[in-house]
Amino acid sequence: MKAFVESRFGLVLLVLIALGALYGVAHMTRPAPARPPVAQPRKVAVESVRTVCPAPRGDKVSVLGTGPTKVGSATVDGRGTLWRKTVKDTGPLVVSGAGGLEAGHGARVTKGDERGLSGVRCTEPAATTWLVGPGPSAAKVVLHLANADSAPAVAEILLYSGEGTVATDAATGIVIKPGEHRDIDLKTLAPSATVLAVGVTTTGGRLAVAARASLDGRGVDWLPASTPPATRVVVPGIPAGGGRRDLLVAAPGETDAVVRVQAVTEDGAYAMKGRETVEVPAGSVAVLELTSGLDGQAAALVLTSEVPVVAGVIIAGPGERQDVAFTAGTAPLDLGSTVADNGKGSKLVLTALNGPGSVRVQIMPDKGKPPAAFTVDLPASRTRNVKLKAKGPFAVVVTPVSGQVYGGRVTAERLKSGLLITARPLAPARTWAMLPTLTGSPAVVLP
Amino acid sequence: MTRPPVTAIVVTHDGARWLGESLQAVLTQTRPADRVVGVDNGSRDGSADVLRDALGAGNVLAMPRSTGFGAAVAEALGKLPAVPGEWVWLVHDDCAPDRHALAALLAAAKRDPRAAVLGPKLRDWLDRRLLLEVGVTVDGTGRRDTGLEAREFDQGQYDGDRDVLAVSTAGMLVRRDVWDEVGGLDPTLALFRDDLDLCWRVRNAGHRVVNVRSAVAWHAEAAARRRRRITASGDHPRRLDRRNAMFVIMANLPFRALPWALLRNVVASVLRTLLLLLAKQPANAYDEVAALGSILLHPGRLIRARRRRRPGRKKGYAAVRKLLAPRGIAYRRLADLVQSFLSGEGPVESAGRHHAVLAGPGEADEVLLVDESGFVKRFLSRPGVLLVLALTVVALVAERSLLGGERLGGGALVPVEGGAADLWRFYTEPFHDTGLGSAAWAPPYVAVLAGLSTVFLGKTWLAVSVLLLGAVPLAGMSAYLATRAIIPAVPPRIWLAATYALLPVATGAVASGRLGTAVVFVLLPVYAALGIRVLSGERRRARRAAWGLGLLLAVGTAFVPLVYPLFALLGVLAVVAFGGVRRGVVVSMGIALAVPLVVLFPWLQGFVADPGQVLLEAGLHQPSLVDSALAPEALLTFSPGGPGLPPFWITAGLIAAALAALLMRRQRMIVAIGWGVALYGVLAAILVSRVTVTPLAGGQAARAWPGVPLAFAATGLLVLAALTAHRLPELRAAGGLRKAGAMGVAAVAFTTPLLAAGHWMAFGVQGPLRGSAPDPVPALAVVESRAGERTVLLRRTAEGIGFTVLRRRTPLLGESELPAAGGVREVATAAAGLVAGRGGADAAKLAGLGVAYVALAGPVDPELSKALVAQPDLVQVSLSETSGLWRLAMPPARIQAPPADPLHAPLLWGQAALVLLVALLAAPGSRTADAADAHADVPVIAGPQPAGAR
Repeated sequence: MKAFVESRFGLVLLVLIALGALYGVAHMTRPAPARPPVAQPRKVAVESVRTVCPAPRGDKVSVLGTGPTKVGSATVDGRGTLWRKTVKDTGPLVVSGAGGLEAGHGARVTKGDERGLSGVRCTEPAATTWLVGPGPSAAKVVLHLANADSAPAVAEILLYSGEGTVATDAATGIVIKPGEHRDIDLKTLAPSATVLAVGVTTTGGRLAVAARASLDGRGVDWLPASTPPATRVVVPGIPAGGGRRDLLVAAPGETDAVVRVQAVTEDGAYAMKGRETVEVPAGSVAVLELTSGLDGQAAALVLTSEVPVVAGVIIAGPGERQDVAFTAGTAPLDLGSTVADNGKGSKLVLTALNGPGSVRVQIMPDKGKPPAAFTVDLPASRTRNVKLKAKGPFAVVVTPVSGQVYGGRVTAERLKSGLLITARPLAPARTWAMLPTLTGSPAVVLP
Repeated sequence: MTRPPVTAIVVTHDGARWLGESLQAVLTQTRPADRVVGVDNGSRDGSADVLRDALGAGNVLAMPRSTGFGAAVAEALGKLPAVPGEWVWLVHDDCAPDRHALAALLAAAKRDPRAAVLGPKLRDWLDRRLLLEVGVTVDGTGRRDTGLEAREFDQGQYDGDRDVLAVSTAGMLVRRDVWDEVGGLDPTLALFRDDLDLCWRVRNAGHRVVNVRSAVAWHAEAAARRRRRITASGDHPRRLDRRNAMFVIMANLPFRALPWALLRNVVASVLRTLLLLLAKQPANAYDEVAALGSILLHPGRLIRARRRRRPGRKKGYAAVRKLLAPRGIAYRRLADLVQSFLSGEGPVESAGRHHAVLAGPGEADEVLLVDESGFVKRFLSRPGVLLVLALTVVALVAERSLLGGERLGGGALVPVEGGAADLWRFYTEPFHDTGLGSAAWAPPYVAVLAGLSTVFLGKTWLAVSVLLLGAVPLAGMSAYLATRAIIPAVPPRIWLAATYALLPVATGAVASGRLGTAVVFVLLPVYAALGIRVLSGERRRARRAAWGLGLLLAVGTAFVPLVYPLFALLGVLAVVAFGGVRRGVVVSMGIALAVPLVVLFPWLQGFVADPGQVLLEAGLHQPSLVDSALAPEALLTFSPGGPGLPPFWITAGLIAAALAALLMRRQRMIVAIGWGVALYGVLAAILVSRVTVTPLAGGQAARAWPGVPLAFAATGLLVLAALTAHRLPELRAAGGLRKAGAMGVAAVAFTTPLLAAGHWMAFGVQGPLRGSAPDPVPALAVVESRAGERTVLLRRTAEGIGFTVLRRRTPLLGESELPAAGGVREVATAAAGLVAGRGGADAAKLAGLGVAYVALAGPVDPELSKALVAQPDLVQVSLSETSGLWRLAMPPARIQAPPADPLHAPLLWGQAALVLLVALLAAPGSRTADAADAHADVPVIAGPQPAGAR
């Protein structure tokens, strides 16, 4: 050993061999570079839901729950069967239950100024709600605000008309105490607007927000809640048939928006001639008439823009005596969707985007055994009408199987006096929730 | 005996400025000395040449730089056989006697046969009429008293021979037989007051000390006025002067006078300290306290000195007593002090001090200024100082983005909050009321940081900044100083220190906020130096080094536990190799390796259950801070992976130099050992970097960071390369190919520190460490939450959503490393439920765990904030883009702290006592008899000896 160390090149050789061996060991043990696994969220059942039906007086309220449910002060067993009853009380109705829950109410009026089919989904209180529809100069629009929480809510109403932002003092600092509600006729806030986008945000507390538009004999319906401003908005559930179709796009930000509009109909996806884009000045609502572009086909609209926008569609029935219906920007059916209040003439308008998709449809009647569920396959970038056949009122549960599917539910009833119609985009059901995996880590304190 | 023989001894130490004139004066005496010898105490300014030119090379003794005046004279006298009736004339290099001085002194000696020590009247070198000394006395507190007014001119007012207590050694004429009888100057009083001590002993021996005022000498008082660097001791001259003064008094007083003197000195010192503090002179106050402490802490030294002075002390005291300064003088001086302070001059003493010992304004300002700058210049021109300054500049330039922020944090470093008191409380409390609560032992590095923060006036951020941001210059300094015993040549040491300090490990540690590695990186060269001393030092010093090594190893282990096994293996191998050769090495190494285990025992228990935690270090363990698949070439070039590293080839110069060293014919063993350590370190680094560890505190699993093993490896190569560097000049001298090779290797070796510094400065610190990390806890949560209420802090990260449980504030250093408590899983599920919005009892569950708030750390993730806003059980307190805070609608449960562990307090006390004991055993001088040894241990660039002139 000593001789080896003493020899000039022995040590060099030894060190080089050792270095080579170390390189080899390091090379052999080198793991493949792998990204740390991102924990995927789990789908879990919702444990409790509380929704608020805005103003169901005289309407039929439909509730489909998965557990013991309270409707107002009455307890019902909503497990798997549709509960349906006419409500006499004024004011909002709170529906709460253990487990998932879906509720809605609607009315059918065949005569008078209020003639038309109308319906609304009972929503959970939220901090932000966006609604898009006609303005007070075209219709009587009443905003219903209800606070079902235990904390007071302070609301601010943002109003965007065709001419730009509507600024009024009356729209800010609206305090609604726990358990109270307020109905605001939008005429008091923006009297001259023909179209309106309304954003209700709370600085404290939450509110259940809904709006009802009555077009003075030309139809009546509730405005469905729209997705908050986004750079890609999908407005599904535009029914087939005659009548006027108007797209309303609002750009609530401070930048003008150039929105590309694409229609996805039964025949495929295309940009409508002369209506490829719509320019929306900042803080205002633009109207784009799509009657000829859609040519009476069932459709969904895909809007893309650099600037976040909100959008909705006004659907008018054909003929002399019209009814009106609304649909709005909606999220995809990733967690499924349920519509509680369906009846004769109800159908689904489903659209698959970004490749083909398929969904399962389950009908839940108010009486008797539910029929077998069926699967609907949707070709890529196509819209399909799915007729729902059932006796009497029923609820429909749509569960995604594959692909990205958007949809709406349309109920149309052909009377002698003309068509009655109501529409509603398929909003995410409150049955399932995506439970993320949370990691306890002190590193959270670091940016 | 008409003409007694006189031997003049001129001692010089860096005194060329005055030496010529002094020598001229000695050689042109009207009554010339019979023998003139010169002693040069390792001067660096050419004094030796002046001496040799004047006296002839045969008459000049060359002594090492570390020799004191007394030792120099003793050495010279030892070489000169005594002649009957001989007189010895001591001359400082900055003391020019008048040409009649020796004649006058001898005449006085003739007049008084009992006079054994005679001194001339001293006047100032510059202002030649100014009186400096006509004999010196002291009062009971050891304060010098010359009996002169400040700036008193010599008008012959004191002329005549006078009996005095003492005269200065500058120009002192002493009888050789008496000198030998009393034993000469005491070498333990390396500087200051050795003259007083000598004269006192001469008096005790029954002789007289006389100041001869007809003899004149001009004295520059160069050492005392700090016109030259004092290298006799690492201590400040002021402190040395006070210490020696008190020491001389207490050593020479008879026993019955001692208690009173002791009491008086203690009281006077305390009073003086207070006065100096009042006068805002903390440095002087510190010196006063340190001097007193030094006397009181080493009673053994005093007892030995007293034993040596016993003969004649009691009898002689009667004579000495009359010569001591009268008692009133102290009050007069106090009055002067107060008066001058009130008049705004600062406490200038009126009498009896060496002028610059307490440098006050108003005396020879210009000269002093020139002198001070000279001192600064000399200090700054030392290579080690220059190196550290250069590294500091490099570090400051590179860390430009981190400086001046309000909260250092990021990477592995939790934003630094709190002060020393918080850290002490955290370390000592039995139950940590943080997060979900923990009864685990706080990491012991918290205690180290708490101690350091206390030194930095309670400012933890300052201590952390100095340790982390100053890691590079500190490592350079420690590497330079620690290797001074093994590598005497300066250029290789400079290269070694610079290369070491700028290793990728250091820049990487700074960039990722790895405080643990930064501290260990600074300590590593010290380990090497102490380890070598344990193996090769003289037995007692080896033992002391072992205690010190054990303590520092404990500190390093507290920061980076991996240090211990890495070092222990090397230590055991070294003992196997050296244990048979040297006695006591086994025990010493055993001490060094046992101390960390014993001191850190309570905390180390935690590693038994989960040994993988050994691979972690102080701070957070995150996947983003390590390279999950570290390349072999990076490992072999000491690049540990992670943020803030230079390209891996930057260390090529170091490796090339170490490979070249393999070709040397000599020092094969050192080269082999160096390479052995390097290969060992790299192997350890490879293994460490392949192990995945999940921190006990929770968080993502990630591979361990091999910074410390790579620093080990690089240290091995650096030391071997620097040790063989002294062959370079030989090779250069050999010429030809060898010269070219040597120059080439040196040039290549220097590329590593230069490239590393350049790269670091050019690109700056590129890592997650931020100078002003945002406070993650919303201010409202701090304000609104009550004691004991918990806050769940959520943040979306690349790997998903993370959370942690806090109490009102950001966790302290170390708090985030406590093992995760049992409730974490429940909190995770409940918080996930809140985020998912599934309704149900999630909020109630959180409240049951004592959670009152849910906070969202900024930048706020819109999805998370939307989910939390939609929660009916959460009441929004605030929401902005930088943070969000919600209060749970239901009141939180109060969590009771579990009963404290009864063993906690005793263990803590035991730990403190152990640390103190080990520190005492490791302290230099604690068990040494002689001061020389103690001086050698002072871990400052050894400074010894000024000779001459006080």
